Amino acid sequence: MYDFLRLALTRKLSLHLYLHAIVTAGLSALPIISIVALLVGAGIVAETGIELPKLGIQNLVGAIVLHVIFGIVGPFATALIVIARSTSGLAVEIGNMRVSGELDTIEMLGVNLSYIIITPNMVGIIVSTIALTFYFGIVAMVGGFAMALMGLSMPIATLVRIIETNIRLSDLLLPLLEGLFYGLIISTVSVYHGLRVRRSPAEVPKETRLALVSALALSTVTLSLYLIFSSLT
Amino acid sequence: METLIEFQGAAIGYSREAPLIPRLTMSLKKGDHTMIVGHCGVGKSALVKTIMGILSLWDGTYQAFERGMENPSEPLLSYVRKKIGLLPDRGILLQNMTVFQNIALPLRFGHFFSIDKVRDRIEPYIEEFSLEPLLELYPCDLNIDQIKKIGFVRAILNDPDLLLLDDPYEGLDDEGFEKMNRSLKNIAEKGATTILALSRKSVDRSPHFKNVLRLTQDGLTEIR
Repeated sequence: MYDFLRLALTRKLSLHLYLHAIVTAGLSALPIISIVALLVGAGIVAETGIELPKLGIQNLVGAIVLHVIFGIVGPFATALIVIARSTSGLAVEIGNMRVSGELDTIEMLGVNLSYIIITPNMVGIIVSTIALTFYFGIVAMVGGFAMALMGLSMPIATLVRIIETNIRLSDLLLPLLEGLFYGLIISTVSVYHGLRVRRSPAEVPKETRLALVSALALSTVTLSLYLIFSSLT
Repeated sequence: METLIEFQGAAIGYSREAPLIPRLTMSLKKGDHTMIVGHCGVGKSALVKTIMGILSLWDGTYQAFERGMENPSEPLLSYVRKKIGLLPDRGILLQNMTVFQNIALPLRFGHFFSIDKVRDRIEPYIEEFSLEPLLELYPCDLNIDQIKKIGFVRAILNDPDLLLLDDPYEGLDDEGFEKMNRSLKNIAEKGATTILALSRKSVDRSPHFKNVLRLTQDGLTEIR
């Protein structure tokens, strides 16, 4: 982040590197995120819209749907998809660059690795994760409304009214913060394991596996800590 | 005369316990175009990496452009690397960049030239080395001659004080060899850049090298 800010403030930033990283990590994930979000949103709204009225607590539907989609499932599902797509890709790319001598060559040419490899990819993953988390939430709501329209949940007018009255600023801030944390975890782990590759091509798949497992584990721990602390406050 | 590179009793290699070159003493002055010949595994690439600050010395001293390089700071490393034009072993271009982006890499991200200034700087070399048809291609589309040519242009683009070539002739056919020799002869004649080439084979058809040295485990011995 220090390198990113230093380059930005001295106007030496090469925007195309960052845009390329955002497109690779984010834009190309839109189709899979859309499908998963639609299905998840439809499922959540269907379940809450049908089961909670039976228990006489239909007034909680809005709060639960918003909290679950924007606060828990949305960010975590987005993180899982970004991990599956970006962690392995970035760790393999950096690892292969190490094995082929490209990383040493970049440094020997007087170019800071952080400027063209590490910072653009980290910023790209963080920005993409935040944006995709919001996108997931919006598409999930669309999926939920579709369920209501099809009569598989509470009436859509009721659903819209309940959500309107329950939406708060925290429902928008939470995806931002969680996306930031997950993005930081995913990008740091990917770069770290890619750089750990030394000279043998055999190390590339080993470090890639470690990157995937580490990113999954750390993201799960983050989710657990969030759930514990949010239930205590 | 300015001393560009100086090693005194330097232990060079990838491990302290078994350095490839246990004790190297060498001084390269401006204008002393030198070829160092050594067999595979003797430590030529390790020497290149030590000169460029990727590997540290295990013993002895190393000065580059009259500055101590034992524990170089980032600004010092950057300063030294910008004064040296490097053609690495096998050329080594970045696979995810086009030929143009590869050539522009040190100017764009090392010297932070604007894209227009980079284009102006590269233009004469595009013509001289017939690079126009290659500019939008990726390294996977090129043969070894072309890769070495592009790596060479990248190395000389900023008129470096020292041109460091790691196995420049390896993989080249006769035509490529003659083109490389012509380019080196032109650079030697201009006088602004000193050439240090490391090669597996002694090359008799390169008269522009004032000194030809053989690198062994015992250090450097003069052949010519």
